[in-house]
Amino acid sequence: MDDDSVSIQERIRNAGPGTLSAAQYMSIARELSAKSHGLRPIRIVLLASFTTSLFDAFLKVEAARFGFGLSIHHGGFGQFEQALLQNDWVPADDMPVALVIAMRLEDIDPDLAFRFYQPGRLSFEALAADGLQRIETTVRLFREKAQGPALVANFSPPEFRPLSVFEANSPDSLTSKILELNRGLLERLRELGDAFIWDYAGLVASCGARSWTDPRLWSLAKTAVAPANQPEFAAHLMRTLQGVIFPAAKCLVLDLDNTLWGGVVGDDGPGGIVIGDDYPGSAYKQFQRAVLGLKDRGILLALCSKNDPDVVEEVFKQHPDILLRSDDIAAQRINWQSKSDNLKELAAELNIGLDSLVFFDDNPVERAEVRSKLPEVTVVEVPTDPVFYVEALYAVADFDVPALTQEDRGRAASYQAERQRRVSAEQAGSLEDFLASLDMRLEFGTLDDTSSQRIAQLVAKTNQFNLTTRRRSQDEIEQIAARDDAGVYWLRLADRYADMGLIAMAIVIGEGRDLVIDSLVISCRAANRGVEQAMLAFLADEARQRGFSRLLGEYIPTARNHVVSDLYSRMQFALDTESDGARVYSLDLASQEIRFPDGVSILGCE
Amino acid sequence: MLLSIFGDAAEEFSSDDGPDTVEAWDSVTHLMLILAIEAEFGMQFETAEIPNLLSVGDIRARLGS
Repeated sequence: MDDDSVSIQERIRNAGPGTLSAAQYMSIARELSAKSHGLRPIRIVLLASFTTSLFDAFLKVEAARFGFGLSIHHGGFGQFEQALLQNDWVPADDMPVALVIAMRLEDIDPDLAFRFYQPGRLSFEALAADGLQRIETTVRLFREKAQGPALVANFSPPEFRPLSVFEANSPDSLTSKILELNRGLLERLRELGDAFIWDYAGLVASCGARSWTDPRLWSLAKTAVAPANQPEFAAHLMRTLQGVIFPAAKCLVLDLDNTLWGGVVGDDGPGGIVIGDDYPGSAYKQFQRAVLGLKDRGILLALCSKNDPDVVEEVFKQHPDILLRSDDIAAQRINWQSKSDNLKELAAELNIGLDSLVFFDDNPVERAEVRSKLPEVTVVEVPTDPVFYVEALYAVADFDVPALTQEDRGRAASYQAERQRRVSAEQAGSLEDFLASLDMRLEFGTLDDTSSQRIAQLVAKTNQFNLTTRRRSQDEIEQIAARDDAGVYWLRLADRYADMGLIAMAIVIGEGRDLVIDSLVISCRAANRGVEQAMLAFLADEARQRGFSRLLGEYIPTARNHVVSDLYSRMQFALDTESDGARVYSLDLASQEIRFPDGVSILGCE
Repeated sequence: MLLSIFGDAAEEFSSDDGPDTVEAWDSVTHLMLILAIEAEFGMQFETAEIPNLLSVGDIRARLGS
């Protein structure tokens, strides 16, 4: 790695979006274009109903903030389907590519806002249906030549609304019809798969619709975004892209003193800390609300503080204004060790990678210590004034997920159940006794509408219990599931303590007399529970019933999946070939059998 | 400002240089330059004058006025 790559990314990260001047964006973009800087190459095909070429510098710099080395293919003013019929946008070699569509209704019909009530004009519904159809066709044309996610801007109400200040008084106003249209767009994208809304309407609203467009720039260059908003436009699009491509962080690790409350509990005592409904305590209470909001949608919370554990426990048990309770905390390290050591322990205890941690600490010395020792951990640059903590938390892109699943919502409860299980395990003695005491119920099924999104999420996010780490998109997985010679299976797990939901998946593809396990992924929450054995037993049965003579399994090593390197050999598969650490194993179905684990009830599929 | 958009070549620009003499100075980079100048100096050009500021000298004269 060359040192420049670190410094250019650092330089961008040290300046928040909007703090760089236009000239600075241009010169950093020039540097970025000069060489790769160790960034991860990706191309976007940017199709819009307005001119986009002025955004290049902003997009490239904001992309580098997230580690992307961005190349941009502009479709040209107002071109959607046509732009994809040519082949000049398809990247050579294996560069990943994403499609971005930004269509404004007022560009397609300039009369839309001004003559919305014109008698006999084309109805809004007809225009909307046409817009949705064009978007769908465009995504399909993209998919014919490339694999990759599609981001589609939703529709923002035009700046000038037909009924002016009374727009919201009319039930069938243009604004309310646009809201309806955006719901229709979401449904259409869900059906397409691996296609997501880019919340352009939310972006315009948060920057301010009034000054979103600069009429001079619109008149001269058909550019719909005012110069002052172009950095935000780029930052918002790139944040959306990273959220679709990168797995989200799983755990927020919080300091206590001057982070969750004001003051130092060791000095001021549990009654002396600052938290409550009036300033300055209100700032900390508001921050705790925001933190709990993250927990509600599946982010784990952990504490890491240099403190006396007994004093801290007293605060959490008794302080009336503390909103976080012990139950909300998945793990904690309250001691005098270094923060970096504690973070390593927390990651190990929660069975997640260091790159799944986000660290929030008001103390710049601690932040620097973690940054230097554990570069994988995302360290939030915490503002000195606590009233801005909430803003800083929401600015963390690492927690962004394109769609919440049932599993996300239940995750905190599931980790709590895991703590109870650990207590039972300590009492039970042997692993077999413990597993038997859990009263586990496994249910198998094949990919369907309700499981498709979760399966894609498992494939995208799982690092450790992932045999081949083939990051197939939802679209690809659905295509494989539809094939006669292949199958996509899922496994749900429930026990006495919790319903853990869909926690494992496998993709199998027939090759002659062999059924090949293309992908096998298990959520780390369900590891060491006999799930892997049950899945292989199930796949072996399936293969036998479908008339195959061997079941083949592959292991492709990555930096993170060592834990499953011996899975197939443990399950009595024979090693067939090995090259570069990648191994292929086989199980002869006529002579060998894999048993389902004892004491587990199985619900089959079909 | 010119350097950030046109790179090191801009060191050699004379006040007569503009879209006719500099290949990279096209309609897109022209607007980028104008907008970057506006942001830097905290001012706004009028719509009609933007397409007419067609050389380094024109821009300099306009900023000096």
